[in-house]
Amino acid sequence: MKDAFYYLETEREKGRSDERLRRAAARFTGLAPGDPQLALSRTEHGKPFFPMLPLHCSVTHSGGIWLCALSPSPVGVDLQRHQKCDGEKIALRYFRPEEADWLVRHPDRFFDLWCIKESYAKYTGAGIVPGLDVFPALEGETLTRHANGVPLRLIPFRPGYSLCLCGGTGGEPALTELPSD
Amino acid sequence: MFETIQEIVYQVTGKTGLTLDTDFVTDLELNSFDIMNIVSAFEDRFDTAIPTRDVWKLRRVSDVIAYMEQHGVGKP
Repeated sequence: MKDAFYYLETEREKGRSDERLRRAAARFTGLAPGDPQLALSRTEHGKPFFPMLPLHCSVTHSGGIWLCALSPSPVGVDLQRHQKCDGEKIALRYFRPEEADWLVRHPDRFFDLWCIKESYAKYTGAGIVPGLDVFPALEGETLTRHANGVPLRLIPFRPGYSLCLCGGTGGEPALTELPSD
Repeated sequence: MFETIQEIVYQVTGKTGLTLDTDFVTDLELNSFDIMNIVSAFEDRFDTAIPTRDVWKLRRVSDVIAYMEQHGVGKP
């Protein structure tokens, strides 16, 4: 079973994320949508998980897109729509100095770097409270493909979005749009 | 200060309808990047610095107002 993304073009709505995640997991596993094995729990930091299934998940939302990653292996995913921001200030504050310097030379990669950082935070389940500088995002002049030994993959999604998957099985992830709510 | 916060949140995220009890994550459903972006705008507008360890305490609009008042930050 390989990694998969399921996404929905919609405004995020209260209480809908778990329902969407169960729908995606039903498709991924072949279980009926109402199967009790699709029950969800959350870690103390709020990361959802399926206590009755050998299935890992991670959820992200940005720019009117809700997206989840499902995998037999632990995963973290982050999607970010490119938007106006003070990238230099944010980089100096939250990234390593060499990463902030790199972004001065590669400002168009700001959201790729952000997604790399946050997908790892989602992978660990600790969120970004421990900081986004817990691993180096650069190997020389290029963005790293590993965070503390865990694979990182930037996945093409749509123009104007960055998407990164941390962990997973390493295969090419399938990308499926879910029917609307 | 409430009006200023409303204005900043609208400019950065396009979200409206704030109240003092509005929770940035559960009510406005902002993601981590949105929060960082808003905090950066708060700092610029109020001419202050919010340590990263304090960012996560600012869950609601009322938390931001209380934080600014506690740190002697008035209306810009």
